[in-house]
Amino acid sequence: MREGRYSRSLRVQKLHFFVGLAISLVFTLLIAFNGFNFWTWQASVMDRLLSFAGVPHRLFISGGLTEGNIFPPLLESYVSTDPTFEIPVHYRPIPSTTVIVLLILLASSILIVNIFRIIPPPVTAVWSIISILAILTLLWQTTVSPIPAYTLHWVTIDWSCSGVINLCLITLIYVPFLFTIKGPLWVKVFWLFTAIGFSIFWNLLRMSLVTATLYYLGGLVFLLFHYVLSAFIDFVYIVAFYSLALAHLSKCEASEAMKLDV
Amino acid sequence: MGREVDRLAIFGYLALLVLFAGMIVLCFIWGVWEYKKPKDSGPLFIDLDRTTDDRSEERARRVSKATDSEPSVHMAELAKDGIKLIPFASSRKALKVELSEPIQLIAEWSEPIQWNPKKDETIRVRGDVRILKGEVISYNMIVEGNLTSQEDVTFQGGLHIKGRAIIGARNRLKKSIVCQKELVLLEDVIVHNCIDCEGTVFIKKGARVGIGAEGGGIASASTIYLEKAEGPLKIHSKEGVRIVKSLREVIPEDLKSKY
Amino acid sequence: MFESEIVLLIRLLANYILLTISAIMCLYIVRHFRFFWNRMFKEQRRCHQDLAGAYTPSVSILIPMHKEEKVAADILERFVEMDYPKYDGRYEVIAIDDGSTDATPSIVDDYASKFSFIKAIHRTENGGNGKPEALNVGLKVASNEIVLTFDADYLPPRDCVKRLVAPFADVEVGGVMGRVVPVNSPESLVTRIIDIERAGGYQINQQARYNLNLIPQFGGTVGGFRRSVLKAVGEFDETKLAEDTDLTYKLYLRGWKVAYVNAAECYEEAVLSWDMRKKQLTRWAIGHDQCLFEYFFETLRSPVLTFWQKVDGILLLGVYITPLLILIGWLTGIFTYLAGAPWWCSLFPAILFTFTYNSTGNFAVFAEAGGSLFLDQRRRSIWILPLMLINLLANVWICSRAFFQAIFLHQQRFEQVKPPIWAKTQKRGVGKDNYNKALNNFRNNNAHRWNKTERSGNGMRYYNDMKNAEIKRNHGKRG
Repeated sequence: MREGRYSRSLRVQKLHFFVGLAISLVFTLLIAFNGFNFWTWQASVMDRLLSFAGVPHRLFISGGLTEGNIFPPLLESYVSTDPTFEIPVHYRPIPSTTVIVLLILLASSILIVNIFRIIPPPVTAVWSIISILAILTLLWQTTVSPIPAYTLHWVTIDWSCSGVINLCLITLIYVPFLFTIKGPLWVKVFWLFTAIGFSIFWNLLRMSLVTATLYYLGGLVFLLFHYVLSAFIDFVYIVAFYSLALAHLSKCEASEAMKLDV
Repeated sequence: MGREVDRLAIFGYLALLVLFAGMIVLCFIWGVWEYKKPKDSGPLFIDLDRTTDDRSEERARRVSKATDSEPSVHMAELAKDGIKLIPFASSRKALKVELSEPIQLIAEWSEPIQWNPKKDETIRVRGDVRILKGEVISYNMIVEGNLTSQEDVTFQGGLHIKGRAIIGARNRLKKSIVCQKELVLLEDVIVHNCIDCEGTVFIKKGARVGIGAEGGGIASASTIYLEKAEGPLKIHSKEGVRIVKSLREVIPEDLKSKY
Repeated sequence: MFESEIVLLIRLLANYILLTISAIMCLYIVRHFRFFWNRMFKEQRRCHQDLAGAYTPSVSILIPMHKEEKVAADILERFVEMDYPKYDGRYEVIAIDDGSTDATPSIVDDYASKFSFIKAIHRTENGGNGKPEALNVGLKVASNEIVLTFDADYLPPRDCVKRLVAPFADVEVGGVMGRVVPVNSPESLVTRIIDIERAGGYQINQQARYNLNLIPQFGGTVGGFRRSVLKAVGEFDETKLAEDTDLTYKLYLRGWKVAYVNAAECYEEAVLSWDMRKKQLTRWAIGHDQCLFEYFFETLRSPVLTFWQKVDGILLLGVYITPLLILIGWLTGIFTYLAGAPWWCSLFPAILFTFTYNSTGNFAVFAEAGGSLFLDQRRRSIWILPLMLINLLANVWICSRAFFQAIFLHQQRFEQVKPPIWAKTQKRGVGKDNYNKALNNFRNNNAHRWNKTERSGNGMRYYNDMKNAEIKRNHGKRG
């Protein structure tokens, strides 16, 4: 007899969970011991994308890191650097009048979007948040730090920007919250690897785009872009693929239930 | 100081931008698709005409339900024939019962009551409670321990026992009793409303349940053992209702000493 | 790079703030995931539902109505058809016409004249000052043991009242809450998002809190209390914008419990537009934050709550603060990123922390919503999950603003309460008058916060369409 939605609970699919855990572990180990190769491959693809985007650059792959553990002690990770890109950055200081005008415009726009009710709250929210971030970045660049805060080296490449952590995070999230749910194993494995594949492609594009933005639009936009795209919106695709996977599992459950009814 | 930018190369940059934007948009496409061409826009279906009798997912063993207007007739029938149950739910075999933990000696409640709670007030007691013969408890009680009552005690309020409860013979509970472990009702106990117990329930002969104006019933997340009983309009047990000739067949030794 | 000691200090401070926010968000992450696991895979508590229908104490149902001509007849009809013993005054429906200027009074009078168990109260003076006031007026008239409250746009099924009163067989239960389901979810994107939000909030969150013996919350409607308990805790607080949260904490801090009944489902009309959503959310956030200011320390110090109830109680109080924390985290994150990092903390953790709580933390809420839709077997609605991001962004902004409004209101209330205290001490016997004056001022200044939600009145139409579709579907299956 089918349980009502108010009282039913699912049986944990323990076997699937352990399979997922094994996949997650294998994946993490693969990344840990082949991270350098993965990063080198990413850098070579980025090289091509940057050429496509017309960004003058030089790629150094000198094999400084030993092939092995990608997780050296924390402090060293900002010293060992290969592969590296070198990109000419044409820094132009923003005139103070421009800064003041921009600040006033941004602040007024925040007031305007908040006062006029015709603008839907989500638009208000996005505009307000991005404007505040832009104001902070602008203020910092012009008042405290007249030149970019980081060395050319950091700005261009660091394995921590590669998004390799995302891959582990996806498996860590999906295994307990997808693999445990009733449904065929192949569905879960399919969507897990789809999300991972999407993540790899996403990160390649992201890194190339952000680096190219530095060249074309300068430091201010780059800083904002990099922060927003790195830390902000990654979970958009994690949720998106999770929703597809869950919907697929739900469909499988519904089909099975219909067979039982018949 | 200007720089010469290859105009064609800008298109490459724009292509990257568009591609990345496309990936972001892709994440929302199926959501927008479902919103624009909904196949499950809801709402969640709730049958507004359903009643509590229609619960299809209940695995309850139901007794024949007495109507509100004729309780005495049905109670008499039930008293004569015992509880009418779905056949597979009844068993006359003595079964071994395992209690959740060994019963311990219940300490006397040595301190006199300092306050005088009124009716409808609720007191919370930490520790075990033993009610002496003939007492009248006019308030509601929440006992964070075990409860034992001797004979002829009247509870005018409700009871919530976090441990196990042994209700003495000819006790009268004017409201309901909720018990989180085992519950024993001795002879001729009257419960005006409900018994709801998470552990095993043992009901000796003569017990009457649910005779109050608000009605009532018995529910247990474990097993219910009954000698003869009358009055319950509804019994629900997760693990079965068993009618036994005598509770001595099934009650553990530790609890037997409390008779 | 130019760097002064002040800048260094600010950088350090920003890092500490970011770490603290991440730590707090981690608590919420763990909480949401715990709820997800419990609801999806563990045994569910059914709060005396096995006795639903068998136990029928006397009940009074309060329905405050302020200009509800579009929906008044529908809800009163539902309560006429309610499957509950109606003899001997055991069932009464009190419709409180709260200063309505439309056809609501006539509709209410019409039903009161036809059915003896329906009572009409008309508040022609002082009406329209908010729901709590209307409920308190109804409470004075209510004579039965259990008091349930419903908003006027709700459509309860016939078994709803029996399910809601069943937990009151337990003397420890002081309040009860059912499940709210939007009936007009097809109307707009807002209603669809709210539908999903409600599903996650009730099906997963509330049920898990009840399973784990934490603090399920009374939501203001489709729920109720023992009348004696309500009177003991001071009835509905008219100075609070979230009197439901206020009552929940009052109950728990005095040793009572609130039972959540997942099976007591009831339709509501969700708000239709973003503007209305913003007003509603602002009111809830301000009201909830008011309760945070009032009950934070009391919850920590409470001798009746268990350790985990205290933890959950504090986290529940902070629920409308988390959007502000997320916003501060984003802003601090970019500041840390721009400012560089002190030697012990590199850029990597700055982005990692923001990413972790942003991704994993926000994901937790999406997982709850997705899980609830899975349990409800709403396959295609799960596709809407990514669009909840819009809701998240809107929530962050609205609740952040509401927090500052709540601080201002809290200060205002404190100022208004102050005079009566010292007036009473002077023993001029004017304490009560001064308090009433202050209360009236407060109501007049804040009347706009109880914004009237416009009803479309399409609830029954949606239900009938859906029922016909369901019948066709079942017919097709059998065929």
